[in-house]
Amino acid sequence: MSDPALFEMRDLTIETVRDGHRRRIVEGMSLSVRHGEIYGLVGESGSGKSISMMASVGLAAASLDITAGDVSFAGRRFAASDRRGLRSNLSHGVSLLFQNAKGALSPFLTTGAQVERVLAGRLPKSTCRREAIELFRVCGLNHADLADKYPHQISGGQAQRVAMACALATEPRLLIADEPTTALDVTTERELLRFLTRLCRERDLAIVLIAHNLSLVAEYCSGLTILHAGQIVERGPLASVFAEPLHPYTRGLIAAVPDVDAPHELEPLAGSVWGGRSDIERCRFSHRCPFAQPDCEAGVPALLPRAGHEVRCILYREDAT
Amino acid sequence: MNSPALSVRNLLRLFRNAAEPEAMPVGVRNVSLEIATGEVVGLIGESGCGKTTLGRCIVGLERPDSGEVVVGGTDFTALSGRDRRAFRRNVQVVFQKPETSLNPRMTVARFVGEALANFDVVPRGARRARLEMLAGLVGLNADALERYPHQLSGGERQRVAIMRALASEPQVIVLDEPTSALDVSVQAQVLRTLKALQAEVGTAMLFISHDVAVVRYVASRVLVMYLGVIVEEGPADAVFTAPSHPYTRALLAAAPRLKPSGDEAPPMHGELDLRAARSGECPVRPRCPLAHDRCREAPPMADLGDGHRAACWLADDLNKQSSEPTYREKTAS
Ligand SMILES: Nc1ncnc2c1ncn2[C@@H]1O[C@H](COP(=O)(O)OP(=O)(O)O)[C@@H](O)[C@H]1O
Ligand code: SF4
Ligand code: SF4
Ligand SMILES: [Mg+2]
Repeated sequence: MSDPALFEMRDLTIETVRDGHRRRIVEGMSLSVRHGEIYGLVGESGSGKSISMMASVGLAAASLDITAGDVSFAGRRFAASDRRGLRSNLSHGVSLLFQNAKGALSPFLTTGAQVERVLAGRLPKSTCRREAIELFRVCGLNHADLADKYPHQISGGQAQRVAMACALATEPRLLIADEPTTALDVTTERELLRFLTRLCRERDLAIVLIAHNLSLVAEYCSGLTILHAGQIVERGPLASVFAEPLHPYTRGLIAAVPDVDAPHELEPLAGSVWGGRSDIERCRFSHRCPFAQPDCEAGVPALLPRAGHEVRCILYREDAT
Repeated sequence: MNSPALSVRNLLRLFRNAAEPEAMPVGVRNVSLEIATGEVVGLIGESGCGKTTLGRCIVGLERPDSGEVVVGGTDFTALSGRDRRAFRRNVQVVFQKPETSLNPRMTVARFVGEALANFDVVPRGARRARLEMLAGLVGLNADALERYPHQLSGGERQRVAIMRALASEPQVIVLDEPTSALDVSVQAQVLRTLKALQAEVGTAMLFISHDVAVVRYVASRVLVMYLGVIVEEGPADAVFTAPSHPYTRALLAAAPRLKPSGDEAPPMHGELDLRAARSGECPVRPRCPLAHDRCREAPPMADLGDGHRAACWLADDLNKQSSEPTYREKTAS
């Protein structure tokens, strides 16, 4: 890890008022991504994956208070509350890709025109057309007439590739991809992720892959962070986390995934992400945890190194038996 | 098999694309299938292949161009008016997004109670008890009965949709991607509920999903659909361990895995492209990695034994190949 990180988020904390109470919906979140790597961010919906990453590029909703943290990207550092500063990263090497590309594309412009519009931000107008065609080719959009079509005339997979061409048009070094394949068929999903993997190798692009599907992360990422209720519960290199998942939440997530090769009984996780007491500092998983004990509600467990990665659970304290 | 709960015969429902008159019409082409009481049959395939259209024809939301949908001995498609409406109680549907079928202004008790009343399932005085029994069946707390949809979680809403489908004591339930919008944790709960229901109630189910792992978990038999036709079918274990159609193999290989299998069944080329298919040919030919000359003629369904069938000229070879220990070890380890 001598290689300095391309992207580093430190101690991000986001607060908001929910159900009449002030809550820290993201707390002490940190994330470090190296050049050319695909890094996974996992957790159930509502656990804070998207908000954290949106906040890291200054796009958190105005109703959210960013009370702590900073973000460095390619050597530039901004306070996490400096939305304007962070947004400038979007024209200096960070791109975004979302789940619903069809909805994100403008319905009034042809797909080619949308990509050209992004390219015009950094290239002379005369070369945009040529460059757009090249990007379409790179993204596997080979039908000659696709650039002349409107978003409603193309398939979901094609729309996702057009969104990708737009995202790549700024020549990013980091792509934040939020559930980019969730709406797609597995066949298309695999093609797109293979393509992204190749880009990472060939262009040194780094990706933060936000996914609720652990299998995707297992197949494509080199490291991962698992979030629950706005806190990191476990993180580390992929091989280490999957060889020895430690946190009861991580284990619960894994046990809930059906296996196409060797079907097994599914063990559902009880309860919901934000259930349980909010008036005390506690392990935020205690209301769902089969191993919960009084100590789990005596404070927030620390994130400690164990088995080659890190875990936040009192079962793994130094003095735990 | 004693007389099936559902029997679909030569069902045809095609849509022509006005913008592309040359292209092959899409939809469902002469599909036949049977589901026994207590059986859960999985239907897999990429989006646009006709899964939803087939499901909608079965529950009467879509009129087939031709063919029969026989439920408990009656051809549903031949009914009209009042008979047809009354018959609906026998075939129910659950959609991907429960929001689309729940009524935001009705409590769960009223919403499901309405179904009990409409179909006159139990006498008025017994309705409350029946509601509580149904809630129990789908794993919903009795206090959820007094809530409105917005007061429920996504998983609870899907349970309500299943509960309402069960209320009329149907012989068949079609579930179209019922867990695709849910988190894995909630999906696991709903899938377990469905499995328990199968054991307790014995309603026949057609479970439509693009997620092959989910289908492997719930279904005992599987149908694989491509451009409106069934290209492979059989007992789930046979289809998943010895897939014998190039499309099934590609579909199974593409599913992401917690333990990547390293199984490299050749992928299909490109995306489902309706413009490329020609009638008379094998519909998979434009994308098939194993396509050869003979494929310009549509292949028959090859019988591989035990109800396992695949429509490919190479089905026998593929079946032998994928039953070989090496292939099995690779996919199972
Ligand atoms: N009412 C309709 N009019 C025209 N085309 C339709 C209609 N309903 C479905 N289709 C087309 O039929 C094909 C099969 O669709 P569908 O049954 O929804 O597939 P699946 O459920 O497998 O994704 C698709 O190409 C779809 O666009
Ligand atoms: S700290 Fe306690 S409640 Fe939290 S995950 Fe560990 S054992 Fe469970
Ligand atoms: S018949 Fe030919 S084209 Fe069709 S699936 Fe088999 S090998 Fe492929
Ligand atoms: Mg569908």
